[in-house]
Amino acid sequence: VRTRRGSGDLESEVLAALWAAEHPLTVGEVVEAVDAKLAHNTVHTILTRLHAKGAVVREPVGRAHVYSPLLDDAGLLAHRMHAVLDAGTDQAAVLSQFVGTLSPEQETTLARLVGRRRARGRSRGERA
Amino acid sequence: VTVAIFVCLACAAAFGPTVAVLCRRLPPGIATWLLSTGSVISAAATCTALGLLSSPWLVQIPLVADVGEWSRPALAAGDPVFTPLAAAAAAILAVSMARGTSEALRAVRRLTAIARLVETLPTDRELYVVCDDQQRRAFALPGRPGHIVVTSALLKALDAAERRALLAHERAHLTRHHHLHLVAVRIAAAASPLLSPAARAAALSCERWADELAATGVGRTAVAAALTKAAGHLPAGGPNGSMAMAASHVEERVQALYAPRPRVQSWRLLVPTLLLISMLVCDGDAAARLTHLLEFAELH
Repeated sequence: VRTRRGSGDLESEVLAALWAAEHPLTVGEVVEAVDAKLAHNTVHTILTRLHAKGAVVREPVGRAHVYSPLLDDAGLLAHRMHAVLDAGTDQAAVLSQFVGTLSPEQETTLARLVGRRRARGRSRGERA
Repeated sequence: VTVAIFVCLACAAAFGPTVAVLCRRLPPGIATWLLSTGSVISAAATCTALGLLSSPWLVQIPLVADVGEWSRPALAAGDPVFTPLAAAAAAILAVSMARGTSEALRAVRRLTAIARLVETLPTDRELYVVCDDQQRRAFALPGRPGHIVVTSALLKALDAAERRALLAHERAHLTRHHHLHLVAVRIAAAASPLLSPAARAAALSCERWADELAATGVGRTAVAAALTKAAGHLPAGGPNGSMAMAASHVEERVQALYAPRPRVQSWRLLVPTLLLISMLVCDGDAAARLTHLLEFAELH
């Protein structure tokens, strides 16, 4: 029994497939990599949306496009956040790790990180 | 007073180990709810019992007796609690409350830190990928809406069905607010160390719950395969010894996924429910007796 997936869920799956691939993918290749039963158009719409959000880069190849994931600002933040959690873990500890077992040093690093992000967000807001 | 209180404390002591064992035989959703709400009720009942045990002695302190306008000789005559016992109960209660409060404050601080972090992320996307080709990791960041963070190494290791399983698992953590269950059970266990087996069981139970929810969408095999691959390349040796536990959890979760889906068997809930009810009844009984004592002391 497969539950119906929302478009947000599918969006994450498409992004995950692009990250998992070794090279940029065409729309057809993304369909293959996510779920061969999906309509070409659906995936194309999702890729366009991801492109608009700045999560993927699109390059023209012949008359079509190839898509690859983009390490953007948010990805960099996630990367630093991930570095904060440098205690080894796996699926089993992920949630409890993040909610429960930050050491005091990790907590201060996290707080500093948040402070910096907020300051940057504010200055960007003033410029706009 | 004393008998009821000791029955209550005995039930509270039995609750933690009982549910920890029982939860492996219950569907993980029910198990998680039982662990979190049961632990909170049990911790509250324990603190109430300790309070009731110590209050006949506390109200005999001259200042307290004066404020309540209770007759101290009448209290002394009617007080059936042995003084050192009552004093010990008061001390244990103070320590429990302090530990529970500090754990609660810590949880609030952490959740606010996460909430602030999530605020800085754009809300239009669910998944964030960390470019890390060494470590296979994934976690859920609770918030409105929550986010999923996964390393590229983990995504590269999985096929399409396994990636879907991984996302469904993390999404289940977010939609069912698993972090709140874990926080609740941790606060309860801080206040009452007798509940620490329940706190450990809750961590596993939340993961099992997310596994089962993911399995309804993508199938049990895909979830089990994703789990095995994610755990396959664990970085050697965690700094806090969390590794061994995590690894054994994975094994247990994979086995549970290959076993038939757990069914609801309501008779298994009988013992923990009876324990919880007896705690509340005993507390109520002891409270009624204490009220009688104070009314009696007020008249004299």
